[in-house]
Amino acid sequence: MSDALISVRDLQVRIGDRVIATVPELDVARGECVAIVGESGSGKTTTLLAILGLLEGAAVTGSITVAGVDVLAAGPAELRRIRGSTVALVLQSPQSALNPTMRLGTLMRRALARHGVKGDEARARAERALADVLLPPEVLRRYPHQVSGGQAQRFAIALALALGAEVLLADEPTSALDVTVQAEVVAVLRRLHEERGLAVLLVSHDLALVSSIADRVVVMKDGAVVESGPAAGVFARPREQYTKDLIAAVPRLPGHSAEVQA
Amino acid sequence: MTAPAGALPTLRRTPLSRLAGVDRLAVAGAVLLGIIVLAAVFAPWIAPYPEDGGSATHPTEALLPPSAEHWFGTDQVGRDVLSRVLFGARTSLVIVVAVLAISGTVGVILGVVAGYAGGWVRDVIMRVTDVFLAFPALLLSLALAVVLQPSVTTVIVAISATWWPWYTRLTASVASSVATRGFVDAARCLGVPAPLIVFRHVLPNALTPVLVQLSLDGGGVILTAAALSYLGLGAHEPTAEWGLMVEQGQALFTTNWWVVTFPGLAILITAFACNMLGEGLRARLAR
Repeated sequence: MSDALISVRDLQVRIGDRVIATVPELDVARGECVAIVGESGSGKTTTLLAILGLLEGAAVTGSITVAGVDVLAAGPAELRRIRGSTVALVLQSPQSALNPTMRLGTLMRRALARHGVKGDEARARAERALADVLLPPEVLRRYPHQVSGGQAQRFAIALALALGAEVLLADEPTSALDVTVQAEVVAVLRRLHEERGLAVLLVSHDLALVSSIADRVVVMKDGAVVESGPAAGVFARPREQYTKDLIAAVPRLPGHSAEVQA
Repeated sequence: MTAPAGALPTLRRTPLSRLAGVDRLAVAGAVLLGIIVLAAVFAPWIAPYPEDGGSATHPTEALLPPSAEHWFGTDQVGRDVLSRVLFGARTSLVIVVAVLAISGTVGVILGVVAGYAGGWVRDVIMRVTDVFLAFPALLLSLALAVVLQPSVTTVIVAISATWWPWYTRLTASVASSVATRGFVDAARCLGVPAPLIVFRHVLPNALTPVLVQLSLDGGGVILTAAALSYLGLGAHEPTAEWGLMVEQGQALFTTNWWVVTFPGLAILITAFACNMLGEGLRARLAR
C-alpha cells in the first residue's frame, strides 16, 4: 500500500440499477505501467474516470486511494490539488483535449500557474517537458489546430510532465492517431516509463501497444475483471478464453509472426 | 520508433488571405454599417445645419421640398431633414449598442452557466428565461416603457429586458455541447476550478454563434426602438430619433412625402446592413 500510487479496492460503479464496472483490486506502484485491456464498453474508461473522481451521475462504491488521498471522500479542493500535479490524464482524441481558442503556451503557462509554478521556473519546466517529448519549444506559439495529432498528444503528455505528475492515466492515447504517429507517442511513453520511472495506467485495446510497454495487464469484459497478472504471463499463457480471443483478434501480416510479443 | 523532433513548418499568416474567405455579403454589410457609424460620430460636423439636430425652429422654412439647400427637404418647423437623419443615427446607434451590450452580457453569462452546470441550475435559469419569453416582446417593452418615463434610457431598458432570454437560450445550448468536449474534461483533470472552466474554456468556444446572432439582432433592435418611439414611449422632441420622425411625418405623407420617407429609409438601410453582416457571418460559419 505504501508504495502504491493508485490503489483501488472493491470498486463498483453503478448508473441506476446497472453495474457498469466492477474492479475488486487494482494497484499501480511507483514506476509501474499497468494496462487495462478489453473491448469497447467493457468499463475501462469508466474505471479511469472513477480514479480521477470525475464520474458524475454514477454511484461509486469501494475505495480509491491516489497518492494517499481517498478520492471518494476528498473535497473539491483536495481533488483539484492531486489532479495534474500527481495524476494527469491523457485523452483519446488529442486535438479535442486542447482548447481551440488558446495557444499551447498559454495553456501550459496557466496550467503551471494553477499549481503554483510561475515565471522562470515555469518556463524552465515547460522547456524541459517539451524536450522530454521531443517537441520544439516553438509549439508553444501554436494554436491546437496548427499542430498534428501526434504533436498534440505529445504536448498533452508534456503538460502532465511539467506539472510533475507521478502517474499518467492514458485513455487510449493512440487510437485516434494514424499508425506512424502512434509510434511517436508510444516511443515517448515508453521512454518516459523506462528512463524516468513514470508510472502509467494505460487503457487500450491496442494489444501491440500494451505488450510493448506494460508491466502488468488487467483484462476487463462487460464491466468486470476477467484476468490480471504480469504482461508477459498473460500474453504467453492466457488463462481465460476471452483473453485468448483478444490476442487472436490482433491482425497479422502474412509472413510475420504474432505482433504481440510476450 | 524514432519520433521526429524536427522544426515545425512555418505558418502562412497573411491577414489578406483571411479576408479573402469572408463573404461578400458580410463585407457589404460591414462597410454600410461603418458608413452609418461614421455619419453618427461626425454628425455635428457633416450635417449641413447642425443646430437643426436639436430644438432650433425656422417657421418660415417649414415643409420645403428637397432642394440644393435642403437635400432631404425640411420638416413641420423648418428643420433640415438630412441633418436630423444624421443626428438620428447617433440616437439609434446608442440604443443598439447599449441594448446588445446589456442583453448580450446578461444573456451570455446566464446561458454559459446554465449550459455548463446543467441539473437544477440549468432548470432554474431556463424556467426564468421561459417566463420572459412567454410575454410578447413588444408588449412587455410597451408595459415597461409606460411604467418608466418615456426616454431613450427607457427604450434601452425596455428592449434589453425582452432581448436577453434569447441569448441565454442560444448560449446554454451551445455551452452544453462545448462542455462535453475533451478539453473541458482535460481542464478538470488538471485541477482547474469550475468558474475558470466556464469563462476561459467554455465561453470562448460558445461565443461564435452568439456573435452572429448579435449582429443579426442589430436590425431588430433598431426596428423595435423605432416602434417604441413611434408609439410615443421612447425618445421625445426635440431629440432626433428615426422612429419619432416617422411618427411626426406620417400625417404629411401625401402632401410632404420627404418628412417621413428619409428617416424611414434610414431605419430600413441600417436594419438591412445589420442583417447582411449577420447573414454573411452565419454563411461563413456554416462552411
